[in-house]
Amino acid sequence: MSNITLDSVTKEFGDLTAVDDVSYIINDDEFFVIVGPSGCGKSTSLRLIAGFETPTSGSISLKGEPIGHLAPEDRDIRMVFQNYALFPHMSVGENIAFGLKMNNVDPETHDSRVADVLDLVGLPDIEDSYPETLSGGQQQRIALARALVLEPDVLLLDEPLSNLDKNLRDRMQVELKRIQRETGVTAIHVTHNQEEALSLADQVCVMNDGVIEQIGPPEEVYYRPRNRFVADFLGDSNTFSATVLNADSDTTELGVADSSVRLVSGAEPSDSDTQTAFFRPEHVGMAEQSPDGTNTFDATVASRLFTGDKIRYQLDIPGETDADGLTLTAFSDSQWEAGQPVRVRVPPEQVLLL
Amino acid sequence: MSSRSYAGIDRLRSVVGGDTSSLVLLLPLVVAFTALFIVPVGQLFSRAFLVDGTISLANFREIFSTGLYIDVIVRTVRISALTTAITMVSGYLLAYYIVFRSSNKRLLLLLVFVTMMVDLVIRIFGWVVAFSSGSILEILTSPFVEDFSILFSETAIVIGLVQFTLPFMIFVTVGVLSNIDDSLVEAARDLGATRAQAFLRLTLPLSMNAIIVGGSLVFALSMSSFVSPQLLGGGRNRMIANTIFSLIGNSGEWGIAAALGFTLLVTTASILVIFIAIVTALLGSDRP
Repeated sequence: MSNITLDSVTKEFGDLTAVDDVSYIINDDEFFVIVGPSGCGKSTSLRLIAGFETPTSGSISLKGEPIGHLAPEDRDIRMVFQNYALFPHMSVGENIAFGLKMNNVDPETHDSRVADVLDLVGLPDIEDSYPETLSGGQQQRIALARALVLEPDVLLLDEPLSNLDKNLRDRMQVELKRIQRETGVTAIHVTHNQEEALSLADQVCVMNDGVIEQIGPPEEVYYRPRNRFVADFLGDSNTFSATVLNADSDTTELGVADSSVRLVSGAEPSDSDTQTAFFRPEHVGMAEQSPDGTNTFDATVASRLFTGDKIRYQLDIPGETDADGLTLTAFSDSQWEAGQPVRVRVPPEQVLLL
Repeated sequence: MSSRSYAGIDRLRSVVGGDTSSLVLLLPLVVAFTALFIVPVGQLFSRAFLVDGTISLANFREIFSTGLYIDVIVRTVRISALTTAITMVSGYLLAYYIVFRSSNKRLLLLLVFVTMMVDLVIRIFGWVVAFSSGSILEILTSPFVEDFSILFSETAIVIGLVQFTLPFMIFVTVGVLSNIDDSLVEAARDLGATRAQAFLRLTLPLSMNAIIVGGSLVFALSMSSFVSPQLLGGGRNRMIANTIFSLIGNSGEWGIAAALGFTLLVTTASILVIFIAIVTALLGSDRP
């Protein structure tokens, strides 16, 4: 069942169009992540759903009912703010009970509901502490508890993990996912961090310049990006402008880097003359020797970058006709030195045409 | 080595916090404060308690048994309380507008500041002109006001004092309100609070310091005001400062003047203690 629906929503601030004719449907119990660079309109989208901004045009509905005209306090939607926005003059318990008071929930039940939600976020028995005495991670959980205690239809998360260090962020991602599953709340999460988006989301929505570039499950947007922006934004990618030299039923032969390198793709070309060839660095094979074959090249290791869990190489493939050639990015577990020659293979089935 | 001096420094350190070298920063203030305030005022107050070379409360007995002095004290408190109430409410509202609603905060703050650039005496004389018979103010208000005789009344003093103290309240409150994160009020709204509830439970308690500091400043400035009652109040509406001035200037009554000055200080301080306690009790906790 659809929970939140945005229908041709546009938001303008003076001359600036922050959100440009955006439509999507978010289903019940879904973890929906909006990802994009800063200024892409993702936070504005969230503020439109929360009610802090009103759309210039278009409509927003919750469970089929239009909510665009409702004040924030009249929507069954709660938000976790980027800076947590905990009330500094209230204790943790008072912070969490604030929403219960404002919504006239039976005061008899406040204490038990506060205790339950603190259990849920894994911080029991800190009702009497004040926010300033808590660590960033704890404040984050309290902000989450304060939103969840009202059992909202929709939970909005505005870059909630961006102020945490990496270890804590990874742990909180797991926690967020668990809490979302346990409560069954529909979550809309905004982030500029592509790893966070891919690991949390049921559906990823990639935004840029106020428009949606692609919506889909994480694997789909990662491995089947619809355009160059999505390919480049979600992790490392190799994207090259290419011209179609030859196309038959199951392979397309491409000229890359002013046609100095020939690349074969398993994908069908679109109608336009120039294409964008795309493949992920983890699909590039590196070996000391390998037989000639499709997409097998002699290359030189231009640089290596050790990043902990993998090694990132830049590989130069010389062109057939001039010296320019092609530089591509590859991930490998094996050790190569800069300047070393290497045989490179790009599986044609992994080369997409965008 | 003298351990006593170390103990003294330790005590100072616990007051100031951290490195003793930071105490150097306090030095100019301490010197100036001692030389310019404590010594002369202390000397003045000592006269209040000395009659013919012996310690005595005769000066205070004189003050509190003379209807004229009691009237002056009561009038001073009444005018100051009214001024403080008007200035606090209007100053807070203006500051709220400047911080949260206006599109040109700097321009408005500059305009508030401009009112302070004219000397107080000139500003008060402005009111004297405005309140005189035949003034533009009288002509403009003639359809609504039958008897335009504000000059030399308590109302005139309060108007002068509100104009004088308003910028102080506005600047203090703008400073405090600017430090309240917008997202706190948004969070309150998001959790179901109406605009009014968010103001009462978030903005107001979080700006308690503006009310305490601004209110105290306005009240203290009003209690000790001299120019406004002198020029706008006339002979019948003297406040404490004017009475002290004429006691010394006209009759050389240093002892009574000093005792009256001491009474002013104690009265102001006592009322402020009560004021701060009430504000803290009302706004200091979220519990009803």
